[in-house]
Amino acid sequence: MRYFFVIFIFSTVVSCKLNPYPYVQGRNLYVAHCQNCHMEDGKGLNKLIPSLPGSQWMGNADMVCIIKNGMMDTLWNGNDFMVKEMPSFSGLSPTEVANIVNFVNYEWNPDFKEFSIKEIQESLNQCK
Amino acid sequence: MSRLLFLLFSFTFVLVSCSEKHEELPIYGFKKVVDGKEVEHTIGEIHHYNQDSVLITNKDLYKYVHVADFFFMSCPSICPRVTKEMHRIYEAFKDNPNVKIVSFTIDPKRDTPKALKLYADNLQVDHDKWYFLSGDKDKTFELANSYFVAALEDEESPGGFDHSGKIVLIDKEGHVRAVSEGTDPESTPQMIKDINTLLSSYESNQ
Ligand code: HEC
Repeated sequence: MRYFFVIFIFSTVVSCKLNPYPYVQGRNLYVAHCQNCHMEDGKGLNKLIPSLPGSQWMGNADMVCIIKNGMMDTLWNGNDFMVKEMPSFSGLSPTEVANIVNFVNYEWNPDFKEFSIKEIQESLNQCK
Repeated sequence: MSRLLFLLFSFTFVLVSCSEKHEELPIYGFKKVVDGKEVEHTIGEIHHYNQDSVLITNKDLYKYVHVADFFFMSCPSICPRVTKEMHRIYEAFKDNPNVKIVSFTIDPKRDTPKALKLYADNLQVDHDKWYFLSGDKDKTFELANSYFVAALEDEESPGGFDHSGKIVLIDKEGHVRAVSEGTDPESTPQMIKDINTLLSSYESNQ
């Protein structure tokens, strides 16, 4: 019985070591920079902040341009307007941006495929 | 005789235990002495316009219990999370006519009633249930302090304002009765419970 317990602990530790969470930095950066708006579940806030799960930018490396430059839309309803704004995160390094994009896709894109830092760098260079 | 005594005892016991079961929320803040009488702390003067440009005053809000926060639309930091928790509270009391949800903007220059109307539209909430109020900026900062919510202009802070994400429950006399952390989803169920406690105190007083 006691052996069983030891083996159980051991195997848990080993399997955790073999299967660490792949995007720890990405997750930390998401929590620090994105979660206030896009929320823990990525679903945003009704029509004010878009949901990341289901977003057209999933699986697309050009998502980096939104992170780098931000995004601003003006909502009109005839005569009044409201600004919908995503701030820019131009201070993040390409590696950090890659980790965020990979984290977001890993969590919420059913067709997840990892982006290499090279791909991210190329997309970043192409942003206007 | 002893039987009657026993009956009397059990009767008072039931009465006492019933009234003791009734939870009471505290009244926040220090008491003040006005004209030789002690009075509880109340929130400051509300003279604000809602998203339909209708003037709302304390008297209008005191017909209900209200749940308030202070925010601004272009807030790049904690506001959306607080708004999400406010929305959970809104959902819980959507059909209760005794509760209003109130969000004061601390950036009235940009957050005009018309802009706030669009904001509420995009949050997809009922304009009669959830007021987005704008008014004089300095008075709103003062008001925030009376709700025990710190709010001030600060160029160093993200978006130019420094404020806490507190959600505050106010009763029909203007007393602060409960406070929760809008940035902590786990504190919202307690707030919902506190609102129900406050509401039932009005029912049992009728
Ligand atoms: C201050 C709030 C805020 C923060 C912080 C924020 N976003 Fe956004 N985000 C928005 C808003 C608002 C939009 C929509 C902007 C628009 O429509 O013009 C948006 C749009 C997006 C989009 C496009 C979604 C779509 O389907 O159109 C992506 C992707 C995105 N954000 C990712 C991120 C990531 C990654 C971070 C962290 C690095 C982040 N956001 C931080 C508010 C924010």
